[in-house]
Amino acid sequence: MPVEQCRAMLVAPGLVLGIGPFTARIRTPIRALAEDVRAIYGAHEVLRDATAVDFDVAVRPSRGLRGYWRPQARFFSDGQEPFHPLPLDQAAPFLEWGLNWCIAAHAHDLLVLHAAVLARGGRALLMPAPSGSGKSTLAAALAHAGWRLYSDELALIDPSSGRVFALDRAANLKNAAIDLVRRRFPKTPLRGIARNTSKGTVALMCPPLEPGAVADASEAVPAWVILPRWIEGAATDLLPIGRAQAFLQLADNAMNYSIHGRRGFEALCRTVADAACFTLIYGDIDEAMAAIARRTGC
Amino acid sequence: MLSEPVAAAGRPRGEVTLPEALPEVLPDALIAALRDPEATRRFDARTWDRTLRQARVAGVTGALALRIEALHPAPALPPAVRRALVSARTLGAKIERDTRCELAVLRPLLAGLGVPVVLLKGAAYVARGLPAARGRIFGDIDLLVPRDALEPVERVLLDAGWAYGPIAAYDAAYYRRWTHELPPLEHPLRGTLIDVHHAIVQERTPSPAARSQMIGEAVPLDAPFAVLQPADMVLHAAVHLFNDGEFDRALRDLLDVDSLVRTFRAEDAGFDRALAARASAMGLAGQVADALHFARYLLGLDPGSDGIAGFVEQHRTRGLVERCFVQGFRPDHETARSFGKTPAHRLLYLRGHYLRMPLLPLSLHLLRKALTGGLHAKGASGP
Repeated sequence: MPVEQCRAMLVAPGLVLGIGPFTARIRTPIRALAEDVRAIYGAHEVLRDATAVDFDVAVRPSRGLRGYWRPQARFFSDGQEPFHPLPLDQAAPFLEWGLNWCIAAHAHDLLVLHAAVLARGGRALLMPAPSGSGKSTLAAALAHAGWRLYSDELALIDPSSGRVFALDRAANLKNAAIDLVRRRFPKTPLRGIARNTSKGTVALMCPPLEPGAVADASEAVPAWVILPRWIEGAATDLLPIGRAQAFLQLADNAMNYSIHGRRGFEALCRTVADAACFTLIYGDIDEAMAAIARRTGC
Repeated sequence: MLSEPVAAAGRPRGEVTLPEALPEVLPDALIAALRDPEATRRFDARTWDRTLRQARVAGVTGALALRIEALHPAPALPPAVRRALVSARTLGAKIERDTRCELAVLRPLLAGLGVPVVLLKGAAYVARGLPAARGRIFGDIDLLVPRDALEPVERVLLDAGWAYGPIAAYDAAYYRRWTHELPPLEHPLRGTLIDVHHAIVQERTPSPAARSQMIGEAVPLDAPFAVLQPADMVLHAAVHLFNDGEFDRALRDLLDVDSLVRTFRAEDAGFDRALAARASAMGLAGQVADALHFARYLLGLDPGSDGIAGFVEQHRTRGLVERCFVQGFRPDHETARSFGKTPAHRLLYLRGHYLRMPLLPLSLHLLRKALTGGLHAKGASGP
């Protein structure tokens, strides 16, 4: 889509995108954000304006004094403002965080976990972990090694089928991970780079369009659960663990586990029963990748 | 203004002609779907989109789900709507489950006090297994106890781990002096909130004797729990709806009234008469009449027998306040806003406060709230 057309749609009536199993209407008058949206969601399906969407979001600049002095961006979902404004140069990560919030707040038909998900040949690798454990970095690297990046933040599990859905969102890179990706994958575009956020410097890595990976299915069966932890200078160690431990880690990182009650429990039991589960301690990304390749046979 | 002939009572169900002013409430999306779920079969994608946005803002997606799922045969829904309804039902089931758990924790704690503990609103609907509980999103458990039991109940809850959240001393004092409840108590681990009330109506509402009467005539469940008798339950929902001042959840509260009346009518053919008599005796005829009036026009509640229809026409509010109520029921979304919405909300806010405190302290309270940014401030949590 030409940039002018994309920008015009984002102003009004909104750009309607298919994002994994969801649809979202995105509106923004912010020119810089329009370019980021085009870069990040360039490969996503554009739907008709007349669509009943799951999420209706907007990012708008603050008016009045805040339009000029340290300008701010505001995020709206269904016209309501769930967050305080952020500096205008964080508009792109703000939109991404906002969409994540929408999924976590509204998608209780699915089990939503805080986890990176990659897929290959219809089989998915889940990496549930809190922020700071290096899962985004690892996900970004795997996305350049033939895996399809479903999401570096959210795993969507269908409680009835046990399958996970692709979101194809940008990876949220922070601080040192940004330099690492720049160095190793100079052709991969980074968008929405913002300094001095609450998480330090952040950047969004557009999902790379590896020929093999794009063709992969948009649904996959969880085949591996890896609990990653990055420790500076640590020797790489990929160890099988019991299902109970993997279950606890998945439940601990679930955003709406308690909402599903028994169904959620059963869905996670099934996930750990069908998947091979590991912990991964690593200090070097190449060693970690090699260990994952050995274990998964990919 | 809504001028509606009493004769409408005789019309067949589902063919109620709307009085002129009601298009103001936009009966084209959410309201239309709630009032006449069959009409959603003709909704196009845009209308469904508006309906979903408005339902989320109004916090009534669960109620919408129940009404749509009751349709036979099941309608074809856009995927986003189908998902939202499943999601709302899942969340509603979780809230019902959590409420049962919390009540199981509270029961032995409160049983020792030897006083009746009347469950109100969501907790009451869950405990009594009423359809009004289904899909209803609520975050706190409301308890009603006799005024002189306030302190022992508070002590038991504090000893069991509940605590007051960070609340300004002024707000805490305001709660105790001018509202009919303690400041909310929160459990630090489970995050559950408990509101302990000593009355269901504000201090200034007439008929103070009514309070003890309602507790005295409550229907016992597992001791010490009880729920208000059916007419009082509707009275409370109506008072909560129209006297609260916070009109953001007006549609949800009206759905409570609607669901309760439908259930109690099915249980007891004489319910309408009992409701009208009780409302008049308690000095709450106006609120009940308004609730029935709006439930009929916005949610398709059957107008009922001639007797209750006459009661509604005799007691319902007219004029400026009625117009404000109409505005208040509009979902707070860009597809449903009007120029009159904000002033109407302000007026209802002032009215809610006026109903609970005399004019001089009220002026000082509002002045204070305005100066400290508490009035209509985003995320304001005080009263």
